[in-house]
Amino acid sequence: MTYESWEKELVERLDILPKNEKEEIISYYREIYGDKLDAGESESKIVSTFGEPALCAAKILLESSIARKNAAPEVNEETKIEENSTPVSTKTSAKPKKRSAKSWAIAITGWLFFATLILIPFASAIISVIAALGASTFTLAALSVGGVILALGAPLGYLIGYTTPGVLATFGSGLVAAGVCAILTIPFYYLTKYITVSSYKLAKYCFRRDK
Amino acid sequence: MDAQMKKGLLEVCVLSAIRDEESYGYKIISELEPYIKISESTLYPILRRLEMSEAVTTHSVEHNGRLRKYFKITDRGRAKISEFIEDMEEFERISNFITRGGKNSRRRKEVT
Repeated sequence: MTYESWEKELVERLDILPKNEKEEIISYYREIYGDKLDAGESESKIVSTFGEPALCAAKILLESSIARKNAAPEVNEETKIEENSTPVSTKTSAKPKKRSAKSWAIAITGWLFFATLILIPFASAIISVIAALGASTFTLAALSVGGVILALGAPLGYLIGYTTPGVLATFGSGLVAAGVCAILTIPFYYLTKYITVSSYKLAKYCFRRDK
Repeated sequence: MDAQMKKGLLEVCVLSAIRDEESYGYKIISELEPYIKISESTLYPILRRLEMSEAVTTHSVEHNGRLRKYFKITDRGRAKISEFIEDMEEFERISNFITRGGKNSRRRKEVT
């Protein structure tokens, strides 16, 4: 058998290996073949000492990257190093994934529980307060506008000649309502804003802490 | 020799062959020949394993128009040789016990 046909047969049997690994093996055998020729050995002798291509391929495949990937994890320092140095490591990449999925499940379940027990009533309480305050602000604003209209309308009625004590009373109450509402609208507006913003911040804080 | 035992032994033999001077495939096999027989297809996986475990580093040099891959030992490789020598000392004591049988049972306590 010539070296060429020996190499060809070997390569055929190493077909499942990645290209770079195959090339490495070919250059390894070529190098030794050349050195042996230089040392004066004949081609046929060299090929016969190399042995059956199938046997060589089997030996190589047993120690190849594919065999290492498929092998059951050995508790051996050397294999650990080898696995770490190979870029596609099934062992190291699979475990953290599983762990994170599990922790996510726990986190989500925990959050759902926490949410139903505390967050939902808490949130609805906050929403009701905001709604009440918002409504009050709106009512007060409307009342103040109404008060201004009443206050302006009463003297107008007096000018037309429609003078009763009721008109004066309306004028007075209109002024009072407008005044009180002018004072109250602004703090109510800010209180509503403050509660909305702080409840948003609280929610944000809670979620950030979970992550 | 037991295959498993030989496998571990060969690895250290290869490291020893390049301990003082970097070497290449054919030279390693020739140097080991008087001590332990190692075929080309056995050497290849060993060299690969040593390279993967960073016990050796490699570089290629052109020689007579061909590429020759040189293997150089690293500190990790040297540590492996030292480890082996330590193991061998222990192994020798156990071997003594095995050869003599249970006659010298005190020696076993020294081992453990």
